[in-house]
Amino acid sequence: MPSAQSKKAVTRSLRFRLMIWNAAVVVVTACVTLVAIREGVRITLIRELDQLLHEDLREIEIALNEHEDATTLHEQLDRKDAGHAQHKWFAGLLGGDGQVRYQSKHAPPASVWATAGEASARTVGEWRLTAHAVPGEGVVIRVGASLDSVHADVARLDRLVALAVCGVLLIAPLCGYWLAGRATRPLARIIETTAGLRPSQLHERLEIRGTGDELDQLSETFNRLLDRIGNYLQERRDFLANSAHELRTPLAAIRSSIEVALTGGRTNEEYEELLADIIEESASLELLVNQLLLLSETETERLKVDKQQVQFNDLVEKAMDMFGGVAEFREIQLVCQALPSVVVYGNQQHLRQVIYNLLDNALKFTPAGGQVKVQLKADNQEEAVVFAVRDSGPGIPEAELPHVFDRFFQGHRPRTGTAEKRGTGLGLSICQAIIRAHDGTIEVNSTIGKGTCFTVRLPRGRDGDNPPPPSKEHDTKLQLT
Amino acid sequence: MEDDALLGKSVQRGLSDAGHECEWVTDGEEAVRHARFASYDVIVLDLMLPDISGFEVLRQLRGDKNETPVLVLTALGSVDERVNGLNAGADDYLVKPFAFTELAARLEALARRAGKAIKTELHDGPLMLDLRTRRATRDNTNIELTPTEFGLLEFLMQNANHTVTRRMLCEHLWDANWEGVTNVIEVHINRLRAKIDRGFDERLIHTVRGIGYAFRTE
Repeated sequence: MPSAQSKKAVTRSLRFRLMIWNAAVVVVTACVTLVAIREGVRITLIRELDQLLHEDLREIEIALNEHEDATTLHEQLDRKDAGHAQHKWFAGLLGGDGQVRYQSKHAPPASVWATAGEASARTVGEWRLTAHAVPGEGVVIRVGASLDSVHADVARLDRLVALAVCGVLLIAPLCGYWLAGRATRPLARIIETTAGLRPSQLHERLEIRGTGDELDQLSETFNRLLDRIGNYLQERRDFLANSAHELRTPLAAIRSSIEVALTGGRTNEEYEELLADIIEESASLELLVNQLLLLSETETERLKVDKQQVQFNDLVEKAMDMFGGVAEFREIQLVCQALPSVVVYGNQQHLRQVIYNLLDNALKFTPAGGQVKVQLKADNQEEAVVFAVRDSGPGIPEAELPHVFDRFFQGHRPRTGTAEKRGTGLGLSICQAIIRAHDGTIEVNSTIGKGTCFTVRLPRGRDGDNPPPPSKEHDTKLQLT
Repeated sequence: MEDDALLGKSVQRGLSDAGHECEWVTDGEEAVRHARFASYDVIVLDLMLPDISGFEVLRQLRGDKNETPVLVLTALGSVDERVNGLNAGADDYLVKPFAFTELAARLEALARRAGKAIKTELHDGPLMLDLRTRRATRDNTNIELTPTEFGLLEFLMQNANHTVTRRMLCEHLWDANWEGVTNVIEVHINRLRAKIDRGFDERLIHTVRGIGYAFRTE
């Protein structure tokens, strides 16, 4: 049922709900205000009446004192009575003995009349009454008036209030609907723009109206998100393109070797040479693919599954032994201070890769006669493990420093003149990805002409808590027997 | 035991070409049955089999007191699977996809290891290694070797006349493979060569280009 659904959609819409709330608040506020005004007016009218009654009391008291003659006084009272007839004004005089000396024509029944008290006016039924005892004479003056006129005024006001409330009831939702529409219009535009976004065309941006309100903030946040997604996708595209390009190089070499072999007419030695070339190129292809896999592995959750408490100093020690030969061959002094026992909670294989890559890198960029210094220490204050590899190579130009961790970035060529094979340009990216996956940091400092230092900080694991499984000893034994 | 037809076939052909007798079964139940009624030099086991897991096959084999060396093939080279596999009683492990030469070299090494009693001495040609004192001599002349060089030579001599891959040496010496351009093994081999071959006509350590090294006496 599309109509019922669209109805539901309308009543669920922000605009509709804003309208309802808006109208409700306006109507309630208007009602409260109008009722308060009406009540205020009613009280004021009664006060004014009281004021008049008091003045009359004073007037009668003065007249009572001036005119000893009761007839004159009564005549005066009758005149006054007649003058205020439309208000049903009345007055009465009560003698000290309780005898009624005078009473106006409109006087209410005695039961009402008798309740008039001194000092303040009071309302009895439809009447407003007050009284005053003339000192010394024992005479009590009573005056009063009907509240009819006040009630009539209030009733007129009530009609006006009712009319006003009706008006508000009608106008508030309409205004609310219009205002809510204005307020949510940018939202509608955001929805429209975002609905049109495709991964292939992320250049569109939401309009910033410059009001600085929440919707502007939303648009800005969204635009920033789009920027990031765009950058990320660009990075992916570059990465893919670079990967493909890098893979093509060994592939081309393999192909050309095969083509040369296929042209035929060569000696066995030449064929062997070509085949060996092909194997070597396959190896570099394999290396590249493995590194790409490792890089993608570090970016997924898989890494978290394989974590354990790793004796980091053991890894460093093994790596020192592994690269010791290379260092000696290249006449580089590979030095290492005494390694403290430190444990890192992480993926052993990946942490090993970091150490290997950093050592390999340092040795690659250090000239013969240079020095590579490895440092491992526990930062007890920050519960961190700090691993640093410092080389005495030519250093990295400042302009290249921010890019050393970029994938496929290869700065200045390692020592020229040697038959050094070209790296993949992924080593440091892999290090960074692995260290990040371990909630650690990797930093690079470099001084031209003095050398470069890579510093890795990793959160410290716990000794003994979950000791690394005896896999290493196990493996070694298996292979030794 | 391998359920992938293409891989299984190529392994079988490769091994047959290399002069080995090779049987290929595609499911775990059959594998356990075969292993019970025939004696093999070495078993290649894929961890991902259609019916029962490779670990289960391994457990059943070892439960039968079958001590045939087992090389495990896995799709993923995670530490976990390696440790699990080795704990379950596997003798070696290789990640798919692998180079055939790598598999063949490892299988031959496993088969040789299984056939030999534990030795305290390795003797081949002019070289002698005392595995207890960790001392090496050539023609009764003492050769000073570092522990790494000794480990390297020991592994090469255990697999004398056969090619061992760089990866195997790397795993043997440092429990880990180094994936990188720098040939870390080569320099150790060169140092070792310098120590044992210097001054002698007969070279004992040979480079097998693109694959690894072999210890050979004439």
